Amino acid sequence: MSDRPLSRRALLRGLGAGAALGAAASVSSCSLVGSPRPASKESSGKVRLTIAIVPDPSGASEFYRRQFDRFTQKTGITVNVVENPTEQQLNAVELMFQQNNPPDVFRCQGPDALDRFSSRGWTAALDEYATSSGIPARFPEDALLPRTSGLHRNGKLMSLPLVSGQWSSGGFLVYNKGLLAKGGFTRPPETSEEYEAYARTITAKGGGKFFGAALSSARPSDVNALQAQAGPYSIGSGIDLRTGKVAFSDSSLVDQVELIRRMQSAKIFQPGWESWDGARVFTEFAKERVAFYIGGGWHVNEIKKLNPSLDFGVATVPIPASGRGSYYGQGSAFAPLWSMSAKTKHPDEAWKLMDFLVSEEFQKAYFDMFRTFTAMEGTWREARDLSGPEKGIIAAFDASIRRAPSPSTDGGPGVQRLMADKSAKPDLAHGDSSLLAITRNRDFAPMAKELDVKLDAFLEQDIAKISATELKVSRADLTYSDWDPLQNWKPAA
Amino acid sequence: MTARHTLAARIAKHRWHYLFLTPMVVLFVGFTAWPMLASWWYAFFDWDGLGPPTSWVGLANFSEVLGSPAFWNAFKNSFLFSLVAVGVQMPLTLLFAILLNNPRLRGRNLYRLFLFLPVVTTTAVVGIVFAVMLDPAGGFVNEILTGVGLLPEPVNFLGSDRTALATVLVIDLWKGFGITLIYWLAALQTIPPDVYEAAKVDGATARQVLRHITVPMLVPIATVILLLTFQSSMNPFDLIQATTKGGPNYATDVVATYIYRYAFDPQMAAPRYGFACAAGVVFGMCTLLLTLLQAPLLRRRYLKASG
Repeated sequence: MSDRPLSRRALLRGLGAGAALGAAASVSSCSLVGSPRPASKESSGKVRLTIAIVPDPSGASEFYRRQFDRFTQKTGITVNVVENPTEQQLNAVELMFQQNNPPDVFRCQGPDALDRFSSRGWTAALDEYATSSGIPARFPEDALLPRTSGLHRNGKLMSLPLVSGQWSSGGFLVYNKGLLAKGGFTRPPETSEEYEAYARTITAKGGGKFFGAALSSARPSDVNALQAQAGPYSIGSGIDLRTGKVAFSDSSLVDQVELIRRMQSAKIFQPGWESWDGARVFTEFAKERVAFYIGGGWHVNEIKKLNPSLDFGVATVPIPASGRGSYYGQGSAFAPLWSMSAKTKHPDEAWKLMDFLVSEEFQKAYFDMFRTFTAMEGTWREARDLSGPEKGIIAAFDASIRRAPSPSTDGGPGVQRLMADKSAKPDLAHGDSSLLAITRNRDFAPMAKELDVKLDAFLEQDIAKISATELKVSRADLTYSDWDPLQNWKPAA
Repeated sequence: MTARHTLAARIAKHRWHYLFLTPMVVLFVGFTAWPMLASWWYAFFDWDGLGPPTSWVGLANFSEVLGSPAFWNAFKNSFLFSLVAVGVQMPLTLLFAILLNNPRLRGRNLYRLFLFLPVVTTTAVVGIVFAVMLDPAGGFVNEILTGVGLLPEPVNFLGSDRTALATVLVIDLWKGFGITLIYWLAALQTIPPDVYEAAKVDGATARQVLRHITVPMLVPIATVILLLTFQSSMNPFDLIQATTKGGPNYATDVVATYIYRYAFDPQMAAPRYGFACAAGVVFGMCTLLLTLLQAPLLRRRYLKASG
C-alpha cells in the first residue's frame, strides 16, 4: 500500500465513482424486482408465510401479531406481516403481484376488490381445501352457495369472510338518551317524519351546543339508508331490480333527498359535515354534540372507547310514516375479505392460515377485541357480555335487513361486467347530484330525471358493447320479477 | 472518423466530469424522464394500471379530459392557487422580507422562525388543526368572530362551497409564506450594503431606496422566485386531501386530486390509469404553456434590470 496521503481530488473521484455505481445499481435494481423471490423456507426448514393486512381498526396491528404468534405456536409456520394503510392496501398488493413478490394471504376487502384480483387470476380457488376442512359447516346453511355467497367468482370459492353478512349490509340509528330526554323524547325516532321533527326540536333546544342529528360524512350514506327502508334498495344505485328499469326518479329516493335537503336548509344538522371524514360523526356523537345519526356497526365500539360513560342506544333506521316499503338489501351471504394468492409457493401452509382466520378461536378473539360481529354467528349472537347497544345492533339488523338479489353477485359474467362498468363511472351514481341538491338547496327531482336518462343510455350502450364480445347480457339480467322487497329473496333453483 | 475520434478524446479528457454527472443523469432518466414519457404512452390506452397496456384508444382519453367540465373546474382551481401565490404571496412576502431584513429590527430572527414554522409543519397536521379551529360548531375562530359580534352566526369555512376554496387558499398562503420569504431574504442579501450607504449619503428617502435600488436589483432573482413559486403552487394536493378532499361539490378540487380520484382512489372499482395519465399530460402541457408565456416578459425585465 502506498503511504501517499489521500489527496482531495482522489477522495472526490472515489466518492463520485461510488455514488455513480450506487445510483446505477439502485436504479437497475428496479428491473430486478420482477424476478421471482426466493423460496420462503427458513434455514431451519420451517415455512414462512407473508400476509398483507391493514392496521384497522385501531389496535389491529398488535391483535394480529398476537394471533399469528399463536398460529405459529400451533403449526410451526411463521407469519410475516406486511401492513399497508387501508386506502393504499389494494394498490400495494397489486404492486406486490406485479413485482412477482405477492403475499401468500392478503386482505382483499369487498366485492369490487375481489373482482379486480380474481379477474387477473391472482386468487386461488379454495373449494377443495374448504370442503376437506369442513368450512361450510361453520356458517349458516346455504351461506356458501356459489351463486349467492359473495365469495365465489366463476363458481369457485375465492375468498373467506371476516364479518357477518348483516354487518356489512346495513346500518342503524345511534341515539343519545340524555339528549333525547332534553328534547322531551323518551324513545328514538321511528319514522322519517319523527326523525325530522325530533331533530328540529333538539337542535332548537341545543342553541348551538348540541344538535338533533348529524349526517355521516362529507359523502353521506344517510340518503341510501333511508331510501332502503322506503323502497327497493337497488333504487339507491339507480335500478329497480323488480323491473330492470332505471329509477333515480323513484319517490323512495327523491323523498329522502328532499327530507335531508329540507333539514339542511333549516340548519337542523350539526354544521360542518361537508368536510367530515368517516370517523368524525361518531367522535362528535361521543362528545355529546349529536342526539342521533345513522351509523355502521364498528361505530359502537369506537363510541364506547371515546366516551365509556355515555348512555346511548341503537335502533332501526327510521321508516316512512306510511309504513316500511323495503329493507336494507343483503345481496350476498358475506362480503369477501381474506384471499389466498394463486402464486403462493406454499399453498398447503397458506390454507392453514386461511383456515385459522375463519376458525372459531380467531373469530371469537376478533369479536372479543373489536366487538365486530364476525362471520361465525355463534361467536357473538349468544355472547353473555353483550352490551345494550350491541343487543340493539342485533335487533336492528334482524329487523331491517333482508336477503335481496344483486346482479353483481348472483348474475352471470355478462351482467357482472355491466355492473363493474357502471360502478367505474361515478357520474352514474346519485352521490354528486344529491349532495348538490342538499348543500345548495336545489330541487333533486330534475337531477334524478337527468340521471335516469344518462344511466339508461349507458346501459343500452354497454349492453351492446358487452354483447359484441363472447359475454352475453340483456336488460332481462337486471330484472328479478319474483323479488318482493318485503321478503327474504332466494334465487330460483 | 475524425469527429468520432475527437468525441472519444473529449470524453476521455472529461471522464471525471461525466462520471460525476452519471448519478444525476441516471436518476433523472429513471425517475423523471421515463415516468413522463411513459405517462404520454399510457394516455393512449384504456388501461387499469396492471399488466401491459393493450387496449389502444387513440385520442379518446384526451378528448374525454378536454370535454370534462370537472377537469376544467379542477384546472381553474389549480390556477387560482397559482394566482394567489404569485399575485398575493409574492408581494406580501417581499414586504415582510424587507422589514425582516432591516438590521435595526429587534428579534427579527425570531419573527423569521415563526414565519418559517408552517413550512416544516406536516400538512396532515395542518389539515386537522385547521378543521378543528374552523369548525362551525364550536371551533375557536367562529367562537371569537361571533363572540365579538363580527359575525351574526358561525361560518362553515371548509364545508360550504362558497367559502371552502377561499379558506384553503388562505391556509396554503400561510403554509407557503415562509419559503417564499426565505427566497426574498436570500435575494435581499445579494444587494451590496455600499449601494444603500451611497443612497443614504445622497439623501435618498426610504421610499426612493425601495423604488430605485431594492426593487430593480431584485428583479433578476425575482424571475427565478416567480417561477419557483408558480411551479410549487400548482400542486396543493396534500393540503386539499388533508382538509376537504376536493369537496364540497368539488369546490376545492384541483387537478392533482382529480387525477388521484381516477388513478388511485379505492372507491373506484376499476382504476383508469390511462385516463388519469391523459389528464396529467394535458395539465402538464397547460402548465408548460403558462410558464413559457411568462418567459418573454420575464426575459425583457431581466435584461432591463441587469443593464
